[in-house]
Amino acid sequence: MAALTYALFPGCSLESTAREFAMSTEAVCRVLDITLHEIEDWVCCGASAAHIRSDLLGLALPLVSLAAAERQNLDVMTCCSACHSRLKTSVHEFQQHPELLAKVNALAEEQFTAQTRVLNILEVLAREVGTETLATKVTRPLTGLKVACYYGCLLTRLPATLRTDSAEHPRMMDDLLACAGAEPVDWPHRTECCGASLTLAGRPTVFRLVRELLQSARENGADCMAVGCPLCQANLDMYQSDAQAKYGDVPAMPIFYFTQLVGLALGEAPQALGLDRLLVSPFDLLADRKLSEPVGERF
Amino acid sequence: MKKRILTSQHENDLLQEIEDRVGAPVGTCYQCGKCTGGCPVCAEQAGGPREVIRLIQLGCREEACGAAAAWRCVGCLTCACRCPLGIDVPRVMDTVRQIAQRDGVKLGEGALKMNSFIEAFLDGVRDYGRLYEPTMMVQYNLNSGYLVTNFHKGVIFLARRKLTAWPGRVKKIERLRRLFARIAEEEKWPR
Repeated sequence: MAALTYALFPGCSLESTAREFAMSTEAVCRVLDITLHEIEDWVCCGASAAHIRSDLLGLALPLVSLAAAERQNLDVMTCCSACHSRLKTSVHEFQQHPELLAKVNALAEEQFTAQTRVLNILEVLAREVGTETLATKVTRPLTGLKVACYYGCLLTRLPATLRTDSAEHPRMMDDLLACAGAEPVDWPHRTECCGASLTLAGRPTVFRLVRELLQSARENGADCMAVGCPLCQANLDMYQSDAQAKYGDVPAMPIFYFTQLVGLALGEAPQALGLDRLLVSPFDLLADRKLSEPVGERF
Repeated sequence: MKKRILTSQHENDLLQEIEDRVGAPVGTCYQCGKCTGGCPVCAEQAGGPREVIRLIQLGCREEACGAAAAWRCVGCLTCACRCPLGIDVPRVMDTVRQIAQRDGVKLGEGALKMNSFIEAFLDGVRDYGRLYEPTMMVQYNLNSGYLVTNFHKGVIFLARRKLTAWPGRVKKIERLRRLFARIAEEEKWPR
């Protein structure tokens, strides 16, 4: 395998509430010899707000960071699926509409040429590294861990733009975690929405969707969920107790970033993967499956 | 000449503007309802994206641009994948919200909350270049008047070390502010 090097677009969430997504990404890439150079002075991609206020702003914010990556002459790797959607959709729009690219370049004082490839960490692991190569590096197979792979909205949609996987029946994360030794379950809600940014402005909707997702995952045999989006993770993890209090019939389960599970399979320490930062503690489950020492509650 | 079904007889400036901006035949929507059937956020109320599209076809500017269903759209893109006419429905929802802002359409409670979120988010990006979620949440509470939303979550986040130090401003902040100012002027943003 040739050495892989990317310009990393971490995104805002990975600097605060999704710190464990960043930690586990760094750990996994270190083990797999993937070199990451953080994009110089990157800015927020505007996901979930900018495109509602203005088409131009929704394109200009990604362009500023993409232009910086282009100067580094590297393909871009994203973690957050919402950032991924915004960055890749912008490149696609600019390639389709050169006059729009010229206009946004002028507004942003940039010279982006829209030739940059944008890949999500899921694609990098499943396709660029490849599941066969990854399987040879697994030292702690996730045997007996039944996981519901949750793609949510923006890892696959729109498929014509993102070209990740099927929009209705994606398999990429399932295949990745299966090669890490886990048992992905078949469940119908893998591409349903978690309520996303209604986390502030429409919480009853989020509670309802969190309940539907957790119930579906459990009914189909999952004892945990794997996600690739900080907003999905926050809604499912942070509001799990609220949904339980409101409805009384919501199962409890840890919500991992899939990079945390891959890191665990590669032999990384739970603390290095930020597993202790998850609100719904995964340690009872992991200890039961002999994947981690039992860890007492921190508070 | 474009074929249209079920549109009103009078000049429909709203439909024309939205078709031009989205680049999709919104006027030919025949209300199959696949968008609304798959919509994750419109169960709490009547309507849904189908209703917004119908209001656009009828030229009902205030109702379409202030529609609760449009303002609840989180851009999950389910409807965009399933529309048999290939209409990018979330883009239509974005466009009516942009028109509502430009034209000063009166908004209901749900729409105002979503608008508070958008403003809290974008003010943070304009002033610092990156979104720092804790301050954005506080700003949302101030904007919306719902002062204690998620306050107890902040305490839990602190305990789990999910709240990290404020990342500070990006170096190109002045250039970013000029970008915001240019777009605001070109698109005639209010305030």
